[in-house]
Amino acid sequence: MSSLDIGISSIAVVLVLLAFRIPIGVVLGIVSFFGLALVRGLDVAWGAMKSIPFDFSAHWSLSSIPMFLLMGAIAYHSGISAAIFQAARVWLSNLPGGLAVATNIACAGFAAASGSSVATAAAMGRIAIPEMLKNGYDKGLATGVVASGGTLGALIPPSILFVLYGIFAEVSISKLLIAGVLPGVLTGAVYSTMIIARCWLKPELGPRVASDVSWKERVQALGAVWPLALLIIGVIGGLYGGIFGPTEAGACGAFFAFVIALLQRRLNLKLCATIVLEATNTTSRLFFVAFGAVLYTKFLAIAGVSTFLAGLFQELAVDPLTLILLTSLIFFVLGMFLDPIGLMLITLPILLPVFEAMDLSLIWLGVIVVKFVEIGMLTPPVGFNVYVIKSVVGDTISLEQIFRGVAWFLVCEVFIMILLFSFPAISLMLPEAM
Amino acid sequence: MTVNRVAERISLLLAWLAGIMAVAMMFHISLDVFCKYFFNRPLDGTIEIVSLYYMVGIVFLPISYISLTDSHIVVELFTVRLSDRNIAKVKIFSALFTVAYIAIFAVSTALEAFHRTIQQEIWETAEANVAAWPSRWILPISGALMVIAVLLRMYDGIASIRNGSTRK
Repeated sequence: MSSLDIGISSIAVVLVLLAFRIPIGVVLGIVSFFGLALVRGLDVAWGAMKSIPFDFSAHWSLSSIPMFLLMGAIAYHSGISAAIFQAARVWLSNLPGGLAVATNIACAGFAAASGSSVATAAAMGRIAIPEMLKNGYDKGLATGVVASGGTLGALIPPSILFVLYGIFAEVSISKLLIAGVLPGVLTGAVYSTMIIARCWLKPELGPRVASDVSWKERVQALGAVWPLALLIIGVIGGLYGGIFGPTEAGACGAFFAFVIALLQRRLNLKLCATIVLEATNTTSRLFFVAFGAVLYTKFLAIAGVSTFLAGLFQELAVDPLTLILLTSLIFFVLGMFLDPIGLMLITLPILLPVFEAMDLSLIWLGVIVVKFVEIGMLTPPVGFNVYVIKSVVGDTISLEQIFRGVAWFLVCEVFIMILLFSFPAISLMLPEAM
Repeated sequence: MTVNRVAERISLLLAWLAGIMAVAMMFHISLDVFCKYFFNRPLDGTIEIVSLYYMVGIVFLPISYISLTDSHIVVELFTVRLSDRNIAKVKIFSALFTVAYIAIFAVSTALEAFHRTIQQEIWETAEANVAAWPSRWILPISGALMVIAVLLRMYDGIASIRNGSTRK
């Protein structure tokens, strides 16, 4: 067996082992270790194990991840999400499907404090879904909007996925984070338009909520969210203006989220403990997969698989459009059963060289990859966000109903992806102006 | 106290230590930013201390706790429809791989830590030196504890299959 054969068969071994419920990090790591030993000898395999886990974690650029997670955990557990929803509700409830639109906007707002879509979906789900159901909203719409709106968490900065992508693609993380802003806003706008149109044509989906909200109430509702708005402007503005890097943005963001929550009397000692443990355990889990992915990337490169696949891809994908269609296909298939981090880390070693060879912008590719990963979180059989919503609503709403509700948002996604492909400027305009 | 309890206590303690490091990191970096912009004088060694100690601690210290609570990231799609008994069997199979991998990890990083300790590895900051070698030991210690955690869970699994009282 040549090195290349060993490398290629390793992909099959990885997929089989994953099916046996072995942790993703273990699968990638152990396959890489024995693969390296076979291809280059035991010394090289030991060497990789000795140095890669430490070198990868003792790294300033990745230190934004625990800080973003901490900031998100504070925003989530301190109940800031409820204040955002309340504010969006009193301002938007007069629109057709107003509560669903408000949920969608609140998701976007919360996404700016949280770096992951699962956290966003879980936070908004608990508050917004019961409210919509109480007002007679269609179950599919009520759950679909939260599952889909949650994906904004990974687009609007902070975003864990962009940080990881930036490390692997070796592009500026600050620019990537800023690149996500407009696509995130676009996604939110398209979702809202679809909700309004559907509810306008078929009012029983989202019955008008009878309420006369006075201007005083509206201003009051804003009062509870202005510190958060300030925080968001501070973090995004600071990144955009180059005042600080991602790690500083995360640390200061977490610090101010903590101060805000403390001043609004939303924290107690037990909650603080939950927040901190959640942030660190999530970081640890995520890095455990990431080491495996780094080891596997190294193995694939040494075995010659990366160059081989890149060549194959270039032959098949003669123009960028075919390349994009092939990429979509890969993400669609793998996204069915891999989790977002795993999906991104497994595909990047293969895709990055191809995109580099075609001279396509890696920042633009980052936006596309993150979008694809997030769409994978909405598609059956394993749509992570759908499962999050399912765990929030319990037995009252079936998985099928949620998936049916999400389907409308997936149609929007097709439209959004076409826009992002056709007009790279949507993703690149802001980072290029930095 | 049983072995299980001791392992649980130590794992939880390490997870807590990671949590404390995350909070310290938040304050440390915020203070650095504050000093940089208001006194034009950043704290020396922030990057080195964050990378060497906070990051390595946050990333590795919780791994045995995560194993004890069985919450590593896995693909569940292909095993969800199995009976509890069969899932218990699959988990034992999975634990064997995990133990093998983490044992390799623990031994190789221990050798590296030993080597760096003899060298007295340091990282240079703008004004001083930070000892880097102690941080190297966080990896093998966390790894060794994770091996014990996974073995304990595996033992529980085997016992429950024997009694026929499988738990999820």
